[in-house]
Amino acid sequence: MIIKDKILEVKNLTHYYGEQVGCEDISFDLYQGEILGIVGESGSGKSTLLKCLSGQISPSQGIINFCIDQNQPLQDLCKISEQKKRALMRKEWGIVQQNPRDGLRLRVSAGGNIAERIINEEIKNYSNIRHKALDWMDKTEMEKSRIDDFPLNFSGGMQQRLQISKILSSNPKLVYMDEPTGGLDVSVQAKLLDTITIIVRDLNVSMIIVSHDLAVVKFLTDKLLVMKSGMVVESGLTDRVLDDPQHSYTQLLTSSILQV
Amino acid sequence: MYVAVKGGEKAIKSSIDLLEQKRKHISANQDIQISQLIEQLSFAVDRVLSEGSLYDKNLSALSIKQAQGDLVEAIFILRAYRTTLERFSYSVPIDTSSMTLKRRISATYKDIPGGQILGPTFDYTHRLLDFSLLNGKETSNKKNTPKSDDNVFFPRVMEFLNNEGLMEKEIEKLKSKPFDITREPMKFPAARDQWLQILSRSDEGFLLGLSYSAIRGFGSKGTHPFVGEIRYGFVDVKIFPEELGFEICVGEIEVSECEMVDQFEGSKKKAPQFTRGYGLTFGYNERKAMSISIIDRALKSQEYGEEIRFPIQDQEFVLYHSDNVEAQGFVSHLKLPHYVDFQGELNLIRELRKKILKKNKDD
Amino acid sequence: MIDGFNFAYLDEATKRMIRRTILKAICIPGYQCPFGGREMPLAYGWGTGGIQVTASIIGMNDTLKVIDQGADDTTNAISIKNFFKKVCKIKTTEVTENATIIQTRHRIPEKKLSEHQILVYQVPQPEPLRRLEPKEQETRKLHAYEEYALMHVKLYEEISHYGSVIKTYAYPVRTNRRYITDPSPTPKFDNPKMDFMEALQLFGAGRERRIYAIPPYTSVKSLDFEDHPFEIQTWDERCDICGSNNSYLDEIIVNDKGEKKFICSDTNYCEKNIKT
Ligand SMILES: Nc1ncnc2c1ncn2[C@@H]1O[C@H](COP(=O)(O)OP(=O)(O)O)[C@@H](O)[C@H]1O
Ligand SMILES: [Mg+2]
Ligand SMILES: [Zn+2]
Repeated sequence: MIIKDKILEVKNLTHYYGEQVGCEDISFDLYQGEILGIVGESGSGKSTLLKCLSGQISPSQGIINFCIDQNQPLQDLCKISEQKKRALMRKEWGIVQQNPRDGLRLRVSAGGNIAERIINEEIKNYSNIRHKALDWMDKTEMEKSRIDDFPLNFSGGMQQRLQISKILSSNPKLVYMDEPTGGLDVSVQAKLLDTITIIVRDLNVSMIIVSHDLAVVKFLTDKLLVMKSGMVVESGLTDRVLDDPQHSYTQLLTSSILQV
Repeated sequence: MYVAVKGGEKAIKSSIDLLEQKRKHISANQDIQISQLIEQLSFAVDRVLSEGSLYDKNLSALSIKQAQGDLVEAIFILRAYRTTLERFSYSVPIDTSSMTLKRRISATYKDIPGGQILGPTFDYTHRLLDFSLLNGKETSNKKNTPKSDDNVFFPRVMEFLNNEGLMEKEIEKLKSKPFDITREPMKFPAARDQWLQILSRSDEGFLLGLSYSAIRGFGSKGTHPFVGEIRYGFVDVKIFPEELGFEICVGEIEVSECEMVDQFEGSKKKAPQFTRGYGLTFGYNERKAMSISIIDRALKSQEYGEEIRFPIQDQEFVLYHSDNVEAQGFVSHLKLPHYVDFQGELNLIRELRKKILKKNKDD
Repeated sequence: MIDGFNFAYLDEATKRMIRRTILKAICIPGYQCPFGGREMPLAYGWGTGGIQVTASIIGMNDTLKVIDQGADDTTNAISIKNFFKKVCKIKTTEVTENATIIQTRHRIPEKKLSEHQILVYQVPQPEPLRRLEPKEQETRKLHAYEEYALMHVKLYEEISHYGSVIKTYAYPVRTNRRYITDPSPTPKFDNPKMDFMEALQLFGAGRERRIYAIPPYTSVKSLDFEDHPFEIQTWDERCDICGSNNSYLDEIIVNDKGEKKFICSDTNYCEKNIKT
């Protein structure tokens, strides 16, 4: 068996919005190349957890340790400087927003959107940047001819593909996705998930993906956290959790999907 | 040989002469006196000294005369003069609770200790043109001597709410030296001392529009604040010379002050309280003091953790664009020659067109 | 000097404050130093930043040249020169090499400047990233952390849409391999003159209250890609007055048929050419 490196270690993570619980007392580890799913009903704290993990909000309590360089000890996300955090977001980590409009520059061309993360890696040759951008559009099954068009006029599915191209183009180690297929038609969702699965497996990137759709997580993830009212009520290998749910809430969830 | 735009020197001189003539030829024997401006156009004088941020009615009137009634220009002239003045001391904060009041109203209580004082206001005039003013009217020298208010005590309306714990606490005392907008460049995020100073000398029209936008719905929370209290009157200016060891009064200024009560904040555990907005200006500028107090409240959005959605809540938007000396300068600079830059654009557009037209032809 | 005003208008304490800012700016080439800018009797946007810089460094023995669009006799240049004549009675000149201080709007003189000269630019918007990011709090971080990808995205976009970078003036530069700097709205034709210039370059933005500097002999590179290198403007025409084919030309319309002629924008350079 291959010993994988731990890239994220979360201990007792809690976040309050004023007195409102966002998420409470959450702990788990994530290893290189693993895909972790987070499921739960709307309002259960999935987005809050993801925002804490990805440094978009600072948690009220708890520790998030992360690793970029396996020769270095884990670092505490809450303690690194803003400069480091921003550098992390530009390259090593990627956040795919649920609404692609939040993650794209709508008045910058598709190619320009992808270019932004490529340029960060010190590539100063226009043709190279353009080729890389085209490559990524190809990988996410976008029409290459649309490279100079503005995402403002793209369909939701196309925008999401573009956002994913943009995020992955910097070869991140860890990607966060918050309901990436949320606002899309069912048929578009399925195709997009196919694409995501293929690329993510191919890149061996680690990922945490939030979804309220059990079919999605079954399809895509290795491990699963089931959340309710801000807490994790059950966790484990995805297949185990879905095939043999222990907690009554998970049982309810799985039974509801089987009926569909 | 064609020589373009020579003779700028001559042109400037003629232009300045024409401007002077424009004032003089109207009626050379009826030169407006500064004292007339101060007495008869007092609101204009107050606006200029407030936005010019120099409390001097004579100089304010002078700048209005020099600017031929263009108030934004007058404000600019006064500001430019103000920069050259030596600063010999910072005053201690004025105490508006010991103001000699000319007007004091509250919209939140029918009656208040000390009573409501309507004072001079346009509020209940009917805006009918008064043709009797057309040919000059005999002005009586008899002044309505206002009854002396010296021994009447006027507690602040907001204090009643405050004492009951219904009102958010006002900052007691600044921890550090107050920000000085005339000496330091703007800083962000701005603190309240910085923005209240900026608003106090901002363009009245801009502030009015902004505050109006908030109460029409493009604002933070409550769309309908209440006027807790408006005061207008005289207040002493005191300094505290270190070498003397006690305060001395160096003069008296007229100010307008407004305290606005806004929607309350709170939650299940935290008892709700009203929030407040504050505005103070030089002179009799009630409309502006009210606008400031609405904007002050909106600018606190960040502190309250409210979502920043509208222009009025955005510090950089409000504070960077409210000064009319800066705004009029930058807008008017578009009149300056830009032909070097324009030449660059001309060359470029011709080149791009040539490229595309050629390509279209080839295709 | 006029009654009631100090030499060069500003009081000495203000001048000292501005000189301290200038020193700081020289120490961090291309970094925009905030300063407590003052109201000037000329309008914001009309050169108040440059005027404050000039007023703070000018002495009795200085000789001042003021140009606008390259020309000594444009109205705003004359107005500023008159202002300094009024408030400090110093010598003025139109001859580039005779000036110790040259205040400029939109051009760098064609004649190479020397170590003994200071070039003072009037800057309307000191922040090269402002068009891309309106918030000052954010642009300051972008500079501090050297997050300049967005600027290159802008270049990428222009090449993708037009085949080349279309910025013709205020073309951004990288100063001393660190800060991205706005050269003020000078045409990109003048950018190469900034690189390792012998004269000290000072930039004053009055309304935005920023001063920045490029010390003598400092690297100033116009942003570009390897395969789309920076290029300056060229003309097929020559100056109609002096015949120059290497200076920046302004186009003028000479009759109502719209016929055009081209003349040097740098009037002093043009005059010199005719004489020799
Ligand atoms: N910005 C916020 N301010 C206050 N409460 C919030 C905020 N965002 C989320 N919440 C609350 O936190 C809880 C968890 O929300 P969220 O993390 O968005 O859940 P999910 O993504 O699972 O739908 C909910 O009760 C929600 O109302
Ligand atoms: Mg969510
Ligand atoms: Zn010429």
